[in-house]
Amino acid sequence: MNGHMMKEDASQRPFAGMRVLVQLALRRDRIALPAWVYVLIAIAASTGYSLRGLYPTEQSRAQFAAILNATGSTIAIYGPVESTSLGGVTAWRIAVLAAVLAAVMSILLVVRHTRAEEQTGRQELLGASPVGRRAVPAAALGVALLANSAVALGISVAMPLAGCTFTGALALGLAVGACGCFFAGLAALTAQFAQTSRGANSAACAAVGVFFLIRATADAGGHRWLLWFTPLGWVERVGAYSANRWWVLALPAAGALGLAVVATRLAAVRDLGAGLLGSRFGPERAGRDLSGPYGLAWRLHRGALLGWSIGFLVGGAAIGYIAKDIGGVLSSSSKLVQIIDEIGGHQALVDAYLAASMGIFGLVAGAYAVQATLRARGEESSGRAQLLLAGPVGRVRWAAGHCAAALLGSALVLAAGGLGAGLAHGLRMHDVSGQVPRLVLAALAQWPAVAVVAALAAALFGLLPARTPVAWAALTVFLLLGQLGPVLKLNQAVMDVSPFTHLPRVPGDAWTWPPVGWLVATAGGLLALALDGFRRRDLDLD
Amino acid sequence: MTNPAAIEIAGLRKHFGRTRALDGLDLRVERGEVHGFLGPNGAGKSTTIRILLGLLRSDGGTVRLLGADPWRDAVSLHRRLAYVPGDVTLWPNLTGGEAIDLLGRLRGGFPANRRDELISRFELDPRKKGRAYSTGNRQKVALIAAFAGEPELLILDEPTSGLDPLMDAVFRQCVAEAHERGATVLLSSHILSEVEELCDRVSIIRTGRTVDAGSLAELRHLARTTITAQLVRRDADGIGARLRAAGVHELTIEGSTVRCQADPEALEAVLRALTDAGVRALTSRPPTLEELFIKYYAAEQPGEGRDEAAAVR
Ligand SMILES: Nc1ncnc2c1ncn2[C@@H]1O[C@H](COP(=O)(O)OP(=O)(O)O)[C@@H](O)[C@H]1O
Ligand SMILES: [Mg+2]
Repeated sequence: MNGHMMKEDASQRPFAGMRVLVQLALRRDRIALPAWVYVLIAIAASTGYSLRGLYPTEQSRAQFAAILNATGSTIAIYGPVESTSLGGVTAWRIAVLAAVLAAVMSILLVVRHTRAEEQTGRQELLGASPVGRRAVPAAALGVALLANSAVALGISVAMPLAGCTFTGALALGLAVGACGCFFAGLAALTAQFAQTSRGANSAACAAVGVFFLIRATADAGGHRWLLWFTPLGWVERVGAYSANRWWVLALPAAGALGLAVVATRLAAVRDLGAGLLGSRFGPERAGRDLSGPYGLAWRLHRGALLGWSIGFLVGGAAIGYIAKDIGGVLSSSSKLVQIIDEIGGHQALVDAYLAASMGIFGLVAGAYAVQATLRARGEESSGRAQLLLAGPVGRVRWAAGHCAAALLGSALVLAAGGLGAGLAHGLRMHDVSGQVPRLVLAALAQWPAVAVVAALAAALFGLLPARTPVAWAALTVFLLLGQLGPVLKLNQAVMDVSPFTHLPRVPGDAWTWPPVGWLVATAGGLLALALDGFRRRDLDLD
Repeated sequence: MTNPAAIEIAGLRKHFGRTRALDGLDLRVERGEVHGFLGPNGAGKSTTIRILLGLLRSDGGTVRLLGADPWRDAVSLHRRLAYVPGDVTLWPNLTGGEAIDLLGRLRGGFPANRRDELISRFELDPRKKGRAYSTGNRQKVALIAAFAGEPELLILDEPTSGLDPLMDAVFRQCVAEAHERGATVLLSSHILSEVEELCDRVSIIRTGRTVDAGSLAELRHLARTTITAQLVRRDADGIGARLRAAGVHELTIEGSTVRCQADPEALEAVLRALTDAGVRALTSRPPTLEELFIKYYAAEQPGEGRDEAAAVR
């Protein structure tokens, strides 16, 4: 294929071979990439379509928007409703969600075709063929640009089909796609610095989290100028269906281009396989703790666990800090004050906001749980597990170490989030001793559902090791059900598929124990299946 | 015999989907012997070894490892053995020294001086992180961990593919030392000089089946000897016909020089025919290892070699 491309001189043509690499990437991603693009477009189309049925008139939408803007519990997550046209309400509901998903899609895509390739050594084969030094990150970025363009185009076509106007749909589509491109550039950069694909993914996804928190603080805390400092805020600032500020699109575009240039330059100057960060040396002898499968599991998981915990602590603090302002920002009119009183007063608003934030914590902790559980799969397919399992280590004991890291680790991570929220909110309310335990418990209330997610990933590992990525697909489905289900008034039976649906909405609502009990039981059952399956099956190497 | 063989495999079968990896494989390794496990790429050596380690489950046949069932008794068996895969991957953020200690401690630890001695013999820098090692150095980490524990059984799957000749020599010493203290070694290898130097017996497999087993001398004995004879007279009467009747192969007669290959059982008739014709000089050369293995490995085999082998056994 393309023999003439491969013959060109690599040293003089830093981008030589890029077309072949793009084709290779598209071929390898022929299922995952269309699936991502499809989900993003489907979110836009189905949300528009459902909202048209639920709020058919301008008046009904205006009422809906007034309540949302007044209560503020959703503002932190979605921003305020700026236009009451059908497109405007749809854009409000999906803009941030779609932008975050486009960002994650782009990050995983770019890292998969850059650092991950290098780490597995496959790139050595390519590096020895006439492929320019910059071609590898450039090709990954090219594929990301294609994917995000498809998302932009898809949204701007699909929303008008659902009854929204075209101009706003185009603005929204471009804003989402441009945001994806920005994070693709960022991932290309983290892939140059980190030694491992996990490191590159984590750093870029942590940036998404930080940018999300800045955006949430800006919207919910009433510091809207902060929106200019976060790519997720730019999506909002484009103002699809309201102001349609096209020039704002230049910000993510310029950012993406700048990051891409820096990343490809760095790729050209560093050694293959080396990161710009990370030490090559360490202790000559193993410490006391590194003495068995559990010691090793702890060693392998502790870095990620620390990173996630700090992330949750900081995220929780940001969320807790703005809690007090909820509902106070936009509810100046007497009519809105009346609405607020009807739904339980200011305290209820704050609690609803905190409960919604805990829901987000739960989903993000689910991502930690899936990642930690699937570490077992990575150990297996890389061949490292066989070194241990050829020693006197039982299968169940080995797998249990990783499952424990996922289950206990996600509890720790959630508790860190609750602690951060409790400290920050407590400090502002002069009630640290009251808010800390209350919000730590509220965060831990998410754990049963997270445990089900971890156990689901474990069951895939134990029974269908080649299908473990399905765990991520399941988590995405839970995310979409949770985020879009209530607004789209989805059938309860469909909503019940997600374990997160069954959790008590605390703080605010009363604790309900039965669902907690059977969620934990479900997790236990799945885990038993997982361990039993792994005990019986062949070890499956790449 | 109260002490069973170290490895006893009979009629072992294993398939992966449609691929039949093992198709009635037999293997017997006595205690205390260094056993070469040979076969072309994809013959099923690694699959057999993974079944022996309880990492894969067999689909049929019997497998006994140190008298026990390798699947059911995996954990207790693994206390007594060490394994070195051909393609060692290490934990990217653990140093080589840490990996050695971890693998050693799993089996109950080893004397620190033994570990340090092996590290210096293999010239390994134990402070480097796993991701910074070359293929050969990763292999050294696994080899040091295996040899340091002095296990009863060593299962080595192409362990020297990445080692330089100097390190290969150290490896051979270590295997010889293990042999001396009475350990059993199953060594899968493509390096024939290594096999010749180390192995008491070898088993040769192809497409999931055992083709032959025995000592190298026995195997050589089964292969054709190359004979070159200078006859007293040119174009001796009927020598060609007599040799053909004796069953030689690749016969050429150029003037008084006769070249041919003879199967072991034809040797006597061939020599008689030659002496009857009058021999001035005679050289006979046993097959080189390369010839031997190319014969065994070649995909299309006339069948004689294998039938004879079966008949002799
Ligand atoms: N996990 C697997 N899935 C499918 N086929 C496999 C797997 N492992 C080995 N095989 C196949 O089984 C055969 C034997 O492989 P292997 O035991 O690795 O050979 P060797 O080690 O002798 O080179 C090969 O044809 C190989 O392709
Ligand atoms: Mg092999």
